[in-house]
Amino acid sequence: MPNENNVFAYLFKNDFRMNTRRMLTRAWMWGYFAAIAVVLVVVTAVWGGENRFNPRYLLFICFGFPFIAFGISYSILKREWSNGTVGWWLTLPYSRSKLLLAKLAAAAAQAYVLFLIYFIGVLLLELFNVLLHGNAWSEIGEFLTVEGEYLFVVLVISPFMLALGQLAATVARTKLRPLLPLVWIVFALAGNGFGWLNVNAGDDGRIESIAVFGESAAAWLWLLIPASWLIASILFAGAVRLTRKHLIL
Amino acid sequence: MNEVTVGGMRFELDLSQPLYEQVLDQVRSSIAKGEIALGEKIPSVREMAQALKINPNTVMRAYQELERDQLTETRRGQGTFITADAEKVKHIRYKLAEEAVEEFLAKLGSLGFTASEIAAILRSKGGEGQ
Amino acid sequence: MTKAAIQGSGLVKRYGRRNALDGLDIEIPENSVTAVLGPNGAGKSTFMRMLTGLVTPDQGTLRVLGEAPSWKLNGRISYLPDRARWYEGHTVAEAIRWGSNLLPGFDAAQALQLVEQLGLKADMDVKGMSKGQEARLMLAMCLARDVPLLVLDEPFSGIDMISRERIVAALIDSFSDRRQTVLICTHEIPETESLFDHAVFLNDGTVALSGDVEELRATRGSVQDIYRQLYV
Repeated sequence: MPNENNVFAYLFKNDFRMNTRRMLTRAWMWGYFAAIAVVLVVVTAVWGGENRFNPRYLLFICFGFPFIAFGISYSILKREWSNGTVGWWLTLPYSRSKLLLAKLAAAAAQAYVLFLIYFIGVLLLELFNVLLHGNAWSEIGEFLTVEGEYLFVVLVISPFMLALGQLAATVARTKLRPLLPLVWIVFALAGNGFGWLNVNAGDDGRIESIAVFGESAAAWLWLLIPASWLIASILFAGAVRLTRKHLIL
Repeated sequence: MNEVTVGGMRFELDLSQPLYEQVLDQVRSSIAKGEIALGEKIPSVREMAQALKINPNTVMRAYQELERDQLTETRRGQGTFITADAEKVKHIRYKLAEEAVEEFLAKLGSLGFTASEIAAILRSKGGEGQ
Repeated sequence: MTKAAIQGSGLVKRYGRRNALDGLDIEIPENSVTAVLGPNGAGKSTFMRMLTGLVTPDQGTLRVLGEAPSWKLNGRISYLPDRARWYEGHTVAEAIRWGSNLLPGFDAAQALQLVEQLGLKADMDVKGMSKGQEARLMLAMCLARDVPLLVLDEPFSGIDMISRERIVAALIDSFSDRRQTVLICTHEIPETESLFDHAVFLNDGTVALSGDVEELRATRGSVQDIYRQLYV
């Protein structure tokens, strides 16, 4: 007999494991990663040091992370339909909120692991940069601070994008399907909007700091964070409601 | 349906007739013909259902009817066995013969034959020795 | 008549202008094997999905094992969805672990025995399976649950003859082992009709005919014959 407390943990683990395995088995992707890593190491070796190339530029990619969180959440849910397993999943004797929350958690974990790997990768590159070109060690500390700030922002805004991803996947399976373009518009706008929380270019084109952590950061920017969590929970409740009553199977 | 042999008994089921009656009749006639010996064990409900590819409930019903007629007996933990009582088997043979004759007579009756005409036909077909 | 495991009255389900169920009154007897038959679009799958709460009726009442369908009730129903696939990221052993972690009444040891009996191995990847192998795995997942109601929506569709025969044999074993209400929806009538105690023929979302199969055989012929009489 399944133990209620273990059910959530198992649902989470199962989705996380299946999704991770799917990513790992894409051999061609590893080829790209290896190629990009080699290019970056070479670029750092040649143009690093004097700030003609700084690994910190790579943190600009954080701009895309909210979109990635959305994408993972969307695809983990959508796969139940596209793989023909939705009948098994939705007839499990557990509430829709439990089933969806487990998927949300799996998508979050998946996204965070990816982000963390990226940040660690870039940090290693910076370490290589400092060692090779004999820059001051204090640069590493500075780099870590910037990374930490970026990571913080990515983490706090992801619930909104994760919940929106679930809503997009469920809306597509209901009579509300015509609203789908609206969800995509919110996706594009919000993804961009959150990006601006992150990125704040200095005068010389280098990234100096992050908007919310900037000295001139307005208090309302910080308020955006709990507000986005509130909206995320509303979006999640919407997805739960749709899967409960309105699915067209 | 194809002919199937289970535990020495031959079966041929027709899906347009009740299966329960066919299983029952065919076990009875197997006993009468001696295809299965007195006191011998008959296949379990599951084996019979698997061999005939039918619902075990149907086999169960037929077996219960055999038991009611005392043609079989179930020994706890050992299975179901054909009765060892030759009298019961004799009885069933005669019953089957009576049924066949009744059917035969009914048919000829419906064709308008009288009893003496039927007796004459029987004799001409080699039944005169009796 | 024995007690009803499922009772539906006046069930209506609309999809746009079409009524998939159109005032369906239906009773499924307890502890028997019932076939739900009819051409495509007769409302079979809609009715089956309603039992597990995947589809909610627009009108009418439905009682399954004495309750209204809900996710909680699904703990007592073993359901094979129509056109279902299994998780392609799983091996057979992982599928069984999925069952023991999530499905009430699931017996992992029995599941393992069933998959082996059905010609599968624990270390097989679902991804590399033929359609017939996958269908056998899914049936094993359903039969390994000791629950009062088993609902199989098209367990034989589009699979090879050997898989079909193995599935029929596994079903007969399962029926011998436990008292369970079984509902099967299928188009493979000649191969399966000897398994049914009871049959319900649906047409345009209502019951065209229903009854004890043995009685139907005595009065109207085989299930296949009746199907032809009703729908041709």
